[in-house]
Amino acid sequence: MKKNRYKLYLILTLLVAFGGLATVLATDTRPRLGLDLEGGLSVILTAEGENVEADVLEKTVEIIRQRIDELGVAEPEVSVAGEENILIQLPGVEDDEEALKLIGTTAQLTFRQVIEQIPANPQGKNAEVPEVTEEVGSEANEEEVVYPDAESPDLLYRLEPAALTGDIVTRAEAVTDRGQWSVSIDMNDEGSDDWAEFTDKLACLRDEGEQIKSQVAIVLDGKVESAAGMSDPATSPDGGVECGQGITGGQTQIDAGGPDDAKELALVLETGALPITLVQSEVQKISPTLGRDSLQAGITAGLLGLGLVMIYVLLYYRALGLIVWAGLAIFTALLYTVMSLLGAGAGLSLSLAGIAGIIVSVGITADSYIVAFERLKDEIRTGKSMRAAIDRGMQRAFNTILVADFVSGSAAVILFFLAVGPVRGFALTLGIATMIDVAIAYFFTRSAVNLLGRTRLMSSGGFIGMKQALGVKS
Amino acid sequence: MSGKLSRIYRGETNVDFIGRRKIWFALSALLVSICLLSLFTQGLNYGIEFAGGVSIQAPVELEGPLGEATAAEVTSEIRDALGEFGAEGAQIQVATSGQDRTAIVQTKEVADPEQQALVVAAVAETVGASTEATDSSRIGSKWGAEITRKAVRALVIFVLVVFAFISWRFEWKMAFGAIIALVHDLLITAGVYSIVGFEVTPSSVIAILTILGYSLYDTVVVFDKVEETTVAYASSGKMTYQDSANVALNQVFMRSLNTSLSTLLPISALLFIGAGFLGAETLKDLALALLVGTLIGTYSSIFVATPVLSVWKEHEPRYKNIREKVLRQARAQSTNEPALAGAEVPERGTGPTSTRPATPTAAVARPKAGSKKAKRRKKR
Repeated sequence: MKKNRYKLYLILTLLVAFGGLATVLATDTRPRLGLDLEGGLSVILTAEGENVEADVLEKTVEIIRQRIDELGVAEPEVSVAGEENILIQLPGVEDDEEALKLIGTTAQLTFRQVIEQIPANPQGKNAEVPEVTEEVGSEANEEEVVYPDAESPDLLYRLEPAALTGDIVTRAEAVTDRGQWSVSIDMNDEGSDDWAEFTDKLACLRDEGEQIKSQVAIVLDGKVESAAGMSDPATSPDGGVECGQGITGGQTQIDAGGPDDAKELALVLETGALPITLVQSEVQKISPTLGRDSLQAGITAGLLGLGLVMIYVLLYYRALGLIVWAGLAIFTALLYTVMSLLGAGAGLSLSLAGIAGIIVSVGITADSYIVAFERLKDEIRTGKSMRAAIDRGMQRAFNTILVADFVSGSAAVILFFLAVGPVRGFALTLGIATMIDVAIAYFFTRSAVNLLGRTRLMSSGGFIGMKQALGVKS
Repeated sequence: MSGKLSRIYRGETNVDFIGRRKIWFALSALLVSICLLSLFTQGLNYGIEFAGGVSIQAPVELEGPLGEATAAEVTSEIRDALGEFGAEGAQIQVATSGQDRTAIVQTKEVADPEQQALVVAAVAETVGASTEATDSSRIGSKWGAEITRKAVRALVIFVLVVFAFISWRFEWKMAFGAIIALVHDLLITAGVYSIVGFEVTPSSVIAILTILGYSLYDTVVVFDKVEETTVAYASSGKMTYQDSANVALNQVFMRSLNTSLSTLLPISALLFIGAGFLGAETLKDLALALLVGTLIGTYSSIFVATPVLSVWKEHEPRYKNIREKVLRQARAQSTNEPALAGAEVPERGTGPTSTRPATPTAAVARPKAGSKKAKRRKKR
């Protein structure tokens, strides 16, 4: 019964490991290489100032990502790192000055009067589509511009020069009143007067029947996030915006379609209002040559280390050493498969620090066998038969491995989620290697030792250097 | 194989690890004080990731203006170019591999990001390298601190988790012993950094974290054995806690030796390869620290964590009683039947130790009646 289960485990392990490896190799899925192994530009931007809010940082990341998309970099990576950093990885970028200028500028929020709305893909053949203005920063504030809608790129807006900039906003919040979601905006004193004047002008235009031109467009980083008309005092229960008065007191409400829209708009206003100053904490440019050299060094070191360990275990454990060989082959196959899949599926990349993690984990993996085999020897020395020694010894050894791997595993998990920069890449591979180690110890090592222990060759003990101990018993 | 080596191989040695704890404690205390002294007087050599600065690797083009120049000339040309930025104090090296030469420049003197960009361009121009072929890191002083702060926070949480885990799986005194060994390992590794003057980089932070993981991992493996052995022998009153812990250490010793060897082999490969490749600085930095850390981590599990634990446990009333009982028995035997001392407890076939008389027997029989050691123990 048990024997059959061990055989099943063994076959399953081999199938998963080498089947997985074959699939990955056949589909040409490779581990995604980190920038330090592939070459490119890596930038870490740190937000200055106290209490940078997480969602403002997220929004900034989104803006930077959009800008990079326009740069046309293959597989860029922009992410929040820690509480105040943004990590930007641009593989294969050569002109770092241009890229740096593009990602380094702070997003700016402006309020502009709409001149006209233009569909980007007009029905009529003769309709002219204006060019979208390239400048998005403060240089464009004095200009008449054409910007696309943030949500539907098919809609373009021609806009007047900026009437106000986002720094007048002191607070923006999504609120709901009788099922109607809106964004409540507070402005500073200076902004309130300008805002009153601006909305007054728009309200008068509305009264003249200019529905489009009476809209205020909220623009962030070259995208129209919202275009809102002035509510009519004649129809609005709240009073609306009067021509000759505008919105006074610095408090404004902008209606939104639903809770998500309201929150998004509030975030846009906050992001533009509190422009976080980004400082370049680290700019690293790695040429493809250097990356390739590092990768080669890492692989060479890994293989050399693996080879040395294999020679050592064979000399020391003899026949059992062959189990280690097979186990290390399975380990390598599984690790390669998992790293490839994570690279393709989750975009996780292998860095130089990650390779170091793998090399360290070779030692931990080897330890699993050493713990098990030393255990086995201990059991044999207490006078048990080979069968009994294997049964008890392997079970106890697995418990030890589980406890010890829990320690390395939790180190990896905690580091991965709490640390930043190269430490994460290291933690990732260490964690994956630890999990693979536990799985191999349970499914492969135990089964293989058990099955091997049933053969006559093993039970005589000579092959594992235990003839003497077993001989004492009989 | 014969003699002592063969006995170690078979786990039949009978080294009194814990009895000689004063030697190990003295050794560890000495090492830790040397390390602390160095940390306080000499401090650590922080790399540009922590201090802020620029690191540049630019190929010296054969066709370029300095293609024919000697290394010293290249260095002085670059130094002149850096003078404009007030960075004459930069470290400049020219590395040669075959025909290719690479200028490696490191300066901590330029902190402004825009100035840093100019420095890189100036160095590249001096050696005639293109921007694409030039590698550079421009780092503000905050980044290294950020990595460290986050790593320290992760470390604290990790230590708490592991403390809770060991307390749950074994007992809290073991958790404490493991943490003491951990602090011991970290101090010594940091001390080695300070004494040797290794540059502290984010890779060093990784190395320290690895050592921490390894140190605890190793301690847990050893404690697992100690726990099992003490439950089997000491709790049943057959042996003192110290002696049964000794049995465990003797049994686990070969495993520790093997594991540290098979961990050190890949690390040595890393060190060897890292030293040979230009781009593998990260690997080399890591390997040096790991080498020290693995050795210390293995040592401390056996020579620090377990003795500390044992001394502590011996103070528990329960194990105090067992100790007195065991000693009384041993004394009674040695006065009544001196010839049999050493062969009496435990008897063959009574416990799991039956076919390995060497270890447990000797462990109990060691305190001879009337010897200084036995008297001193009894007083406690």
